[in-house]
Amino acid sequence: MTSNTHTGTTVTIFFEDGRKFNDQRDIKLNVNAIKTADASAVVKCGNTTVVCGIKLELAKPKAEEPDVGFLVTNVELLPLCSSKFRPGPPSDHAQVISNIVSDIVTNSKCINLKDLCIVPDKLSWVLYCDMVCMDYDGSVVDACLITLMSSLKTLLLPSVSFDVETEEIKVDTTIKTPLPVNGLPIATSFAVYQQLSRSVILTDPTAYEEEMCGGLGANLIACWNKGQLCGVFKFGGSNLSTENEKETLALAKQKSKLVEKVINICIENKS
Amino acid sequence: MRDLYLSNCEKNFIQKIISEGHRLDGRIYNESRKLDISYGSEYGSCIVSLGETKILAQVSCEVVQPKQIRPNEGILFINVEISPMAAPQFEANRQTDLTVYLNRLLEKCYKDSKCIDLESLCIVVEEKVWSLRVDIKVLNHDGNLIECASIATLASLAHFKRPDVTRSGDSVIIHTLSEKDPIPTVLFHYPVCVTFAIFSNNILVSDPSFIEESVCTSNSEEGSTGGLLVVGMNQYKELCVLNLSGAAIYNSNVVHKAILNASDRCKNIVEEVKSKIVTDDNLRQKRVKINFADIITTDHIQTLCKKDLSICLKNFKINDVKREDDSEMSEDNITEDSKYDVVATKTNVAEIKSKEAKSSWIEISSESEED
Amino acid sequence: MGQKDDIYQNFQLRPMKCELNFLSRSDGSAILSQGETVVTVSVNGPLDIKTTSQSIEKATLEILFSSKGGKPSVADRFKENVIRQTCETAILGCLYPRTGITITIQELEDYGGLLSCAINCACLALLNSGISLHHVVAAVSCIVDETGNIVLEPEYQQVQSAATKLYFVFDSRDKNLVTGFTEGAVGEDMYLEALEKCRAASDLVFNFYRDVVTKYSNVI
Repeated sequence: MTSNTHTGTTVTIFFEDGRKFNDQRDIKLNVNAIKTADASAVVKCGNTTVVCGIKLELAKPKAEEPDVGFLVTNVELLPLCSSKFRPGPPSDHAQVISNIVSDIVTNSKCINLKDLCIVPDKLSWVLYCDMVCMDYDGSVVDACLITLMSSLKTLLLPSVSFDVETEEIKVDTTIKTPLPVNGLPIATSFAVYQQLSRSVILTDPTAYEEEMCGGLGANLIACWNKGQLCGVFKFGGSNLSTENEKETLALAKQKSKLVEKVINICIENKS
Repeated sequence: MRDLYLSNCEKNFIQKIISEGHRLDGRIYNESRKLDISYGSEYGSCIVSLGETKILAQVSCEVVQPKQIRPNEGILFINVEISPMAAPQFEANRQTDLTVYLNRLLEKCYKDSKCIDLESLCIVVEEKVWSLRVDIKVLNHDGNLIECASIATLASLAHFKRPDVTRSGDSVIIHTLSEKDPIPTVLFHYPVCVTFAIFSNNILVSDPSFIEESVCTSNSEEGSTGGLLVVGMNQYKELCVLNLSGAAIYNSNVVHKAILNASDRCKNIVEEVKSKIVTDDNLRQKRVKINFADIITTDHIQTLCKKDLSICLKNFKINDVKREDDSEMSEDNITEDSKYDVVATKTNVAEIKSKEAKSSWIEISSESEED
Repeated sequence: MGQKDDIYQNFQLRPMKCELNFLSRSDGSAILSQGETVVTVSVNGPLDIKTTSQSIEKATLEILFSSKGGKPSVADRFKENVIRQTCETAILGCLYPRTGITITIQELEDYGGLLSCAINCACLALLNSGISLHHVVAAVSCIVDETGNIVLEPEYQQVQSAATKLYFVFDSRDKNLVTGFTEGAVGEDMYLEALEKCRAASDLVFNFYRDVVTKYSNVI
């Protein structure tokens, strides 16, 4: 229906999959899908599928900051998720998405890295959060953040005892405490399409729509956390006027509330 | 790296004028271009320019574990990068033969000549030593990268100061610059590489420009006859590096002549580097803020095509040429400063002189005199 | 005009200094200092590139951000992406199909606002190279300090202590947002206020561009 939008001949009000411009795709979320990981989640936003697994390790904190642990996030875009990606070292695009996701997590301050420290200057947790994209169909940052946050929320840290004298480490996996997660940052992607003199905002764009709007990935990502903005990223695409900006922020706020509900219900449902 | 082609007429012209005793930019055989060293705000960062060739050097340090075979020595690491900024033929993130060659030559000159006291960089034997990393970034490649890069390396290493450390028991405290004065690097001697291009008939040309360099290393119809000779020497006129590239065949006199020329040049460069560091140090003590922003000048404005007009023939200087439409142009240039200086030269005498480098148009007329 | 001046008189950007044609071997180059932050940019193009990376629709942009020292990092890739996307909207790439344009950015001093300085410098270098542009862009950065005040183009110490940093890039035609990103959390009202302030302040940057170009127009 909409392959002719980019020719500019007709003004269409639907996405290629029949959605309205400001409709989002359906979201399916599943937590603890991977039994070997310490915490995990799978999400499907339309066709976009992302798996997140968290692996726990113990390490010595950095000398400069002896009382903080480590949270390492990494997004992988493998050739399996789209024909756009080639095997080999992480592409620029994957590095950019990794950077956006880790920026949002740090900015939102949802994880206090001091909670990850067990004994200052001696022992702390390292959380390796790997997000692997299985199907790349646009708005990957949204999906990555949903899996990452639901994994973090379900993560249980085993209790660890550390003997200062002998430097012996004992891990007791029977007693587990959840990791305190403060807030829930939710990102919403938009693509900005120039339709003659006015620009059209597409919520939750697919890979095809992102490409059509000229961006590498989504053009605008707005991230809400506890009624505050914790990251607004606008790259490329058409230029954005103030009205459009306000409109997107409101849309993102709406969506963040919905997604928050999904995550919470999903986690409650599990136990 | 994209291929760069030289036309036959370029090659023949350069070779002909060199054999007749001229150079394209009006220099004599053993004359070097203007050397300029400017320091940035951090210790160990400088931009060195040799004519239009510009190189940025930055020294950084970190604490690492020493190598097992040398447990009481620090580590010096040199990394050369030539990005497309240097010249369009270079590609991003790609190592070229030139990068490897330059890197190796600098390592020979600064690591293998043992000019840095690596033992002074040791903090705890077998556990913690300082590792110095010199990053050389070529900003503009207009020939003689070797000489420029080696001056940049020397200038930045001699300028660099690392944070002070205190050992208390097992732990090592690294002080910030505000807590304790940083420590300079100890250099036993100051080696510098200089380059000579060798043209046919054993002509030695010091500080070759990009075109001279490419002509003398390229193959002509009779086979290659030229080459580049790199001589590394310190301020005591001791030879540290000798490297020949290209296929020049010539007698030992040429090498001897080159070394003699190099010894003076190296000494001058080292003195220049040292005096610059002293001036910089004095300024820093007076808490003058030093920043790369200082190299931005707005008092001389270069034309877009200036790079094509750097040709200076004998008896023909840019400043000698009067513009035909001078009066007309000056009306448009009201916003600019006056192009002339009023100078009192002798007692009771005043002169109006045109400022140097103010005129940006030159016109080639055929009336230049021959001598 | 008088009323307009009143709005702007409260805005102060860090002093800017610029030199064009800083590098002789590049097609276009500029060195720009904003306060103590200094960046140099070289533009080469349109050049011949590999067939695999050619596009029949528009010029392929290659951006290289080179930090002062140390190894290349993921953060550098992010900066490259920001600059690429910004320049892509500004350059009339459709005029140069099947070619490549290389923009190399070299950091010289970083005392806050590095990225906005890099974008402004890239824009000046593009002007200098003579590549056709849709519009020029101006980047303005600001921070929200502890007391909730918005500080435009902050000094180094202010940047270090700031909880929230915001970067915006505007086009010269309609002053629409081209690129923007934030570091740290911020309320919606504060975000929109910062956006408007930076939008107004972008005029100062455009005026600076005009000054530079006027000065060089005599000799180009």
